Amino acid sequence: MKKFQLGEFEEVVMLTVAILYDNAYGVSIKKEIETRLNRKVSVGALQSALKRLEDKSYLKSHDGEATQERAGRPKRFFKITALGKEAMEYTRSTRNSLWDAIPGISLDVKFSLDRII
Amino acid sequence: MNRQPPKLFLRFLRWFCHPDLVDPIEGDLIELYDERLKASGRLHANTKLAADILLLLRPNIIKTLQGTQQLNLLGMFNNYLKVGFRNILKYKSFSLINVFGLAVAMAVSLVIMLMLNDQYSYDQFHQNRGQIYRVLTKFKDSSLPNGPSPYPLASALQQQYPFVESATHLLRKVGGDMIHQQSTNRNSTEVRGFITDPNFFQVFDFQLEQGDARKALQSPNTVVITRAVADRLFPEENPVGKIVAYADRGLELIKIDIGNVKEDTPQDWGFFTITGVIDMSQYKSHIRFDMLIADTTLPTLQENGFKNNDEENWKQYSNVYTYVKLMEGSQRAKLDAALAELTTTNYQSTVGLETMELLSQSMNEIITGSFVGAPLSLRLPSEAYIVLFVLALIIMCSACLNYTNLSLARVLTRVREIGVRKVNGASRWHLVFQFLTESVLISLLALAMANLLLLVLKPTFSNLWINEVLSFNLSLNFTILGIFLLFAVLVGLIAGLYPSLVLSGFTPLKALKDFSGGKTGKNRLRKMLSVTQFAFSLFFIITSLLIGRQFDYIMHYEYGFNTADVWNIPVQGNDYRLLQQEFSTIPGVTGVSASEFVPALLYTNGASIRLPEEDIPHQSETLGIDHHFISNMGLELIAGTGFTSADANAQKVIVNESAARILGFEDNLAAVGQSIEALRGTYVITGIVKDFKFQAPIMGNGETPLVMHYHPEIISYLNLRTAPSDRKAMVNLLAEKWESMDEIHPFKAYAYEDQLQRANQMVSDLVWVIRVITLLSLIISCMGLLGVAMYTAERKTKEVGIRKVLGASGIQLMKLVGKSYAIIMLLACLIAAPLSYLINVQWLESFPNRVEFGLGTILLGIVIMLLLALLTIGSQLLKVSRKNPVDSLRYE
Repeated sequence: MKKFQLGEFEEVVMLTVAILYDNAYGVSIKKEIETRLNRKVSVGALQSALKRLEDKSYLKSHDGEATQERAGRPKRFFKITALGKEAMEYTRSTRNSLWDAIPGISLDVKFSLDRII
Repeated sequence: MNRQPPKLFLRFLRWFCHPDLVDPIEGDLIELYDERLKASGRLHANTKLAADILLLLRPNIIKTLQGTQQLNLLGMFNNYLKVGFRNILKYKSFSLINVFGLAVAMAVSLVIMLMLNDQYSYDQFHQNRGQIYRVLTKFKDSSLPNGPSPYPLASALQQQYPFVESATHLLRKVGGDMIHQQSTNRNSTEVRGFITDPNFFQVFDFQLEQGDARKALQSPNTVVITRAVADRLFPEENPVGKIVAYADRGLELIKIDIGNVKEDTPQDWGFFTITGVIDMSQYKSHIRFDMLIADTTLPTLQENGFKNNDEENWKQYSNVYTYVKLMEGSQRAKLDAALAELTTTNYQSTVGLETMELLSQSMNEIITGSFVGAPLSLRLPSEAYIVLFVLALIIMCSACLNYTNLSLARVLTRVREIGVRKVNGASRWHLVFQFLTESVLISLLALAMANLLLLVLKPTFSNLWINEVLSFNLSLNFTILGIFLLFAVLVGLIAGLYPSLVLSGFTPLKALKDFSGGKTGKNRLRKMLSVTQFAFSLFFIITSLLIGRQFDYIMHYEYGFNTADVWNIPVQGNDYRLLQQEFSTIPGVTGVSASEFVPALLYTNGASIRLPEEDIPHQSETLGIDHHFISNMGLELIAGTGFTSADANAQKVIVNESAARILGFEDNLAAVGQSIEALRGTYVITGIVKDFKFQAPIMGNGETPLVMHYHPEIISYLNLRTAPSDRKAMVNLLAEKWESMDEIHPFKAYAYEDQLQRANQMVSDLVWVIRVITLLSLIISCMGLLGVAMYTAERKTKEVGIRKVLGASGIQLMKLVGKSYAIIMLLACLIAAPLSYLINVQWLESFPNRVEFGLGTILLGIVIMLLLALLTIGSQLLKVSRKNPVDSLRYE
């Protein structure tokens, strides 16, 4: 059984939250992913992922102060919890171990094939 | 510049979004909106915002129902259900009336739905069925189009019009015996099918199980057979490449085996190579066949004189079915235009065919569409569905009216409840919802019961003779069950709509304080509903009485000749004279005659006759007979003589009285010895027979001119008269004799009396259906009446009690309660009696042999209905008038 449930997009969100450290809230996470990974992220997908991660206790949140440019709405900042860190590390190590297990030759063929095509 | 995002969008977000999340999300959206506004304008920002909000509609962002909201909705619904169930249990008789009435009506509707479902499942396997059309022919002045179309049409369409992907023609009346001569038992089987071209497999999506569809029908004398035929001829061999002998008897595709159809003498078409096997059990299609013969065989057949060469003959328009598949994306209008063009070029100047029209019919319309002449397979035409649908609708309405009526009648029992609910804050729509919940509940119960009824109804229906021909498959599946469920909910909503609107409209003050009930306005509506119901019932009663009488008349029809103890035996291609000789040696056989077909069943053969000096021919029927026929069948010769054995193939005829009359002879004796033009040249009349009923009762009354002639080669039936004897023993004797003479064909014999009965079976099935529907309609209306009567009796208990104390007699009390019902009945009679007369006369007139339809039948119908109504109400009237006032007034 899997110890930690972490989907691909969820992992991206977690990593981004970690990168942004003190300034991880909806808009900044969205922009960070969009610039770094060059992919579109909808507010809905992001919020839904954040909610899921918070429900799994990988993230915790606190509301910032209400500001004028957001018409008095607070920013909700996210931080990674200890469990979240563990989940990220677990994902990374399982992936690494899989990478390590690949015999070099199999990827060589793959790459050379890629080049030909 | 206004930097605010549109309020409506954000309000929508606040409406659906989870309250814990809404503030930060809204903040994010506003921030993004600002940026986009600055970067690329308002429109872009607005659309992006809208898209973002729509994409936020996700299960974990939408708020859940909770708190008061959730409790209230669910709780109230639970309460409605509970109150609904309690009401059903509390007023058991009312519930039973409602549920049973609705269930009966639903069962009938369900059967019709199943039939429709079955119909729509035909020909669904053709991938491009929207592109496939059949071409029909129709004369402008005739009401029905015909299935077959001109012979050269398929090739003309294919060659001249590029939008036609492929066209195929199916030559009909091809059927006979296929024999596998190499097999040890000389396996043989009867096959029916078409002569067709290789395009058959391009137009239709029939796949060959074995063999190559592209090559299967290309070379002469090749044939594709079905799996079933292959199994009979080649039980354990691979049939492809094998050679079979085939003898054609011109069998029709549709087999209604009551032993009346004229058969052609067999023609030996030679040997055929089997090039393909098709498994027809996989395909549900209106095209059914046992074999397909390659049309390249035709030249040989034409040489031998078996078939005519009609390749360029546009006047031959009744022998082939033409199917066309259009190119992808081609419109039907193009095909119609092409057909119009072909009509103009080929028929405009053809004498007798100027009014010919070619019509297209899409594949989807073939099974479900209206009736066409000479169909490929028998189906119930759409007109029949309309009739059935209307009947089901009437019954359904009747049941719904019962519900409405009874609910309205029970206003008083619910009024306190309505008042209390309203005082506690229920709005009108809450109450409407409550009453609709109840009616849907009742309707769902009815559905459960209807399904039970269906279990009983289905086998009965399947046993009808009609079903033997139409072969309905009434199996249930999940889709149809889902449709049933939707249907039940819909019925519940319709039945409950009016009462719920009325009941919910009471103001609490009135409802709680002084609801005196019995407002006349409501009563009038209820009475109108009752009148409608009984008018329908009366209509049904009268109709079914009339149909019953008409049917009895046909069943006990006097044919004018002796049909008892006669066996009709198809000769199946054997020499009838040999059979005749052999059969007459069997003890118990008193006479053997022969005929072209069996008279008085559904088959007749038309021809025209005229005197040599006349120009305009008279319509007439013909029948080929031998010299024993007249005496054997007990026909009465009133002038001249019958045929003798020397008259075979002589130019002599025997005519009936009507023929003599229509030809204008002074009397019967004068006609004898005269010549007439008929059939194949000039004939001399040798005898006149008294008119006898040679037509089926639904087709004619026997007073049509009939010409009987003696041509041995067209004889295809033997008529065996036997002394009254045990049927089974006689059949065994005959079969034994048959087997000694014909090894190929299984022996067939039909008792004439049975045949006549079977020929009229269609009518008897119709009578059965009408009777069932009448019965159901009656039961439903009577139950409705019973419900209302019960209720009124209950309501009037006190009034009656007081009247009784003051000295009213039983009769007076009955009058008091019964008066309103009398008015209802009277109105129903006034409406339904003339209506049923006018409508029933319409169909009755189409019968050549009909019963008198007068006041008697209508009066009888009225009496039956009144008796039933009296029985229904009477018990309640008696109960009321008998009740001891001490009991009814005890609590005042």
